[in-house]
Amino acid sequence: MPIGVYVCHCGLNIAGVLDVEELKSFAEKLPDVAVARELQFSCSDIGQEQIQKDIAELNLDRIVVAACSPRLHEPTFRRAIAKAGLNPYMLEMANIREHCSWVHMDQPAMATEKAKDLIAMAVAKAALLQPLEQEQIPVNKDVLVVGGGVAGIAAALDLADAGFHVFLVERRPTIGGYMALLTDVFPTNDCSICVLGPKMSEVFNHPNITLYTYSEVLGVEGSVGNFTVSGVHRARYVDPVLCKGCINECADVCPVEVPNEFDFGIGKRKAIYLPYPQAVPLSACVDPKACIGCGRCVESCPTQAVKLDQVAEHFKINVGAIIVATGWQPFDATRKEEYGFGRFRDVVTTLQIERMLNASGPTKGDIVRPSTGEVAQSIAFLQCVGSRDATIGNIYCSRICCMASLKNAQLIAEKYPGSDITIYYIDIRAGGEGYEEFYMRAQMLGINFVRARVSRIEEVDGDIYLIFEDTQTGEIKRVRHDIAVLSVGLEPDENADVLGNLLGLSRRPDRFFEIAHPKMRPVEAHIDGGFIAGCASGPKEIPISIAQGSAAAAKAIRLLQKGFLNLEPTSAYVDPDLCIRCKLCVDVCPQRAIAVKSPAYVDEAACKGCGSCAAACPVDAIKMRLFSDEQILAQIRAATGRDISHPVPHQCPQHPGDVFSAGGHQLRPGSPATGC
Amino acid sequence: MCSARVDTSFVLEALRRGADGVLIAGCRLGECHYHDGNYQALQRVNVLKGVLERIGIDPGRVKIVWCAASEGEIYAQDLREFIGELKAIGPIGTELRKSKKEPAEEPIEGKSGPDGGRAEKTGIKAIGEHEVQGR
Repeated sequence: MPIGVYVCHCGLNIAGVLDVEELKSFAEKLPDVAVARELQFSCSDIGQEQIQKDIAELNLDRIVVAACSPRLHEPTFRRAIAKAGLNPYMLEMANIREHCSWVHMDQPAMATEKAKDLIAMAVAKAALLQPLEQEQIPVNKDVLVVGGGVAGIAAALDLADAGFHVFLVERRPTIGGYMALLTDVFPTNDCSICVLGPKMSEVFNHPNITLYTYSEVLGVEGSVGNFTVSGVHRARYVDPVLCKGCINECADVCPVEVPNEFDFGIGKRKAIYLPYPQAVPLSACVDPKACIGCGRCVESCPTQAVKLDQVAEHFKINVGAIIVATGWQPFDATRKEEYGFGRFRDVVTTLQIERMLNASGPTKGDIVRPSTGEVAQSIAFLQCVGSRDATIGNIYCSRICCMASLKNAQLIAEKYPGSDITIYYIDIRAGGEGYEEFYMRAQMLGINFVRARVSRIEEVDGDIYLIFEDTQTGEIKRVRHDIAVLSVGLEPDENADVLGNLLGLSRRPDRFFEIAHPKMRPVEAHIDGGFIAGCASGPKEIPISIAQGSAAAAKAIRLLQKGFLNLEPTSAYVDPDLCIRCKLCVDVCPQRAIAVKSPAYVDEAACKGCGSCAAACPVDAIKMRLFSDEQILAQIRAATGRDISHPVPHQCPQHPGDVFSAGGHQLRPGSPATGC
Repeated sequence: MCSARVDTSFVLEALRRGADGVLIAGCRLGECHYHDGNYQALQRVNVLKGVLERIGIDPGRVKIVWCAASEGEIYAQDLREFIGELKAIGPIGTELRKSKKEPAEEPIEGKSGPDGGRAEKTGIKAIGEHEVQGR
């Protein structure tokens, strides 16, 4: 079994730290190695051609490429060796970049020794590789989109227009998300609902979209191409077909009044309510927590649409792909106690100001002091509330708050010329097309900018005072304003945790869902068949959310349009002669892909290759096709065969080392450790 | 591949071959990429630690930690801590010599034999092999 070993320079990414020539000479002496070469860029055409040439001339039957993470270029090299006539699975990669040169930049000698171990491990495994075949399975072409905000709407419409059937599941009684609640949107100041409204009704009327509002996903089973999703459609207590959305008839007689969550608490609504006049579907909804069951709405409804005996309905759908567009939630400003939100009535949030400025909002477009009801003359905006703040655990920038405050300040300055508007900021971040010009326009409108992070707000005799250090003059100041607007940051929607756990989505340290690659795969999840769009994967502006929704739709189409999928042969299988029918594997399998029908049997299309069963089997009757016991043990023996004085990572598709090195962190050597 | 894929025999083989410790890193509890494999891994490590203790090997040589794929910094920190802990325990076999009250041998650094001569010198080869073959 002649093995070819190729040590990649990757420009200076690897060769700048490791002694690649020494690695090459080391590899030459390893068992079964017929040839070892250095390549400048192994992934380039020249590099691939060299490998193909050696396969033909030296009859190599397995290849080791010591280069970057297999997550990046394993498909490239599999294609390359397949072209030369080898089975694509006769390839093993040693990750000497992310796991070595990038994380040990300041210790080249030790790093070179570690790279030798990684190459020795890869060669040991390569000697035990077996040819594998991909299995073809039929796929369901329908797509589930979770979240009916602007990203989910964009994804659903693109898919539906392309002829794919979409199930759109939204937790709230209406689609539209936060965008539907905003007033005008930057940097063009066009009316938010005017541009979104038509899209919302297009979703409602599209023959290829099945809309589930007021619904949640409760279960996800299966895998890429064939997911079975169960969910619940909560009772609205109103028949949406009969309800005409007139709302006055029922809400006027309703005796219960509660704060309206769609106005973020500044407006009120009845127990029977329409979220806002442009809601889709345009149907009232009864809040079961507020309703006292008096039945007046039932009597007053001209179409007999109110049904207080309605019950929740469960549904089950089959889809081939899932797009997660669960969005965000505003930072809870009460966590910044020093600003008195919730205690001082004149301290409000960006979203409350958005609703005040909105012509269909609770104040019909007026900026009023909540404590007096008078029009506010002096308005302060406090930036970075819940963002760039380690004290509450959010060190990230929420990206949109600077622009949102600039926009709201402009709207107020235009509506109330002469009013005193001040923005308290750390840095103004206006880094988009037309954003800097928008910032300059705000300055020209006479809006004041004070560089300060306000330390606290106090209330004296019903007036609020901001206390801060003006960092441009160094003075400590105390300034009165009529209202203070807290520019709250974006956090991941905590209601999305259920779906995230069902799908097994990874999270970033900031708790947003992680995409498969921070640059190259911006809308793909780590799980096959899962896509993430919009603010579910981090704070974003509306145009980017829309672009991501469309991108996720395109990726889903690419995945499903052929009607079949080639499965990676990562699955487990059972040696029936060894199986003792103990059923331990059935208990540990997270996919329920194993049945013991004397002996055990693995449904390889459902198996995701986690390997729990192989580790649990007491007689080693369950084998893994891609990471067999023998292969892993051979790697361990290779790693421990030489004197080791540094940690040796065992390759895992999701190894944190990959991202770790991208962040520029450095590992220090010490005692050995092996594991995955 | 999941942390639940880590067969106890892999860990024992690494120790038998002279690794001073084995670190297993899984997704955070409750956030398993597959479903609940990290809990299985945790159970297995706990059982394994008991076995190690009974055969006279410091259970601190095996550690399981949790970090998401994005949390490289946490992984590095865990690794540094583990290395510190292993340095305190000493090279593999230290505890066996202590329990037998034998005079301390020279540190295991030799390179004779296929495994660097570690196993023979530490005297844990037989124990490790027995465990591996016993599976």
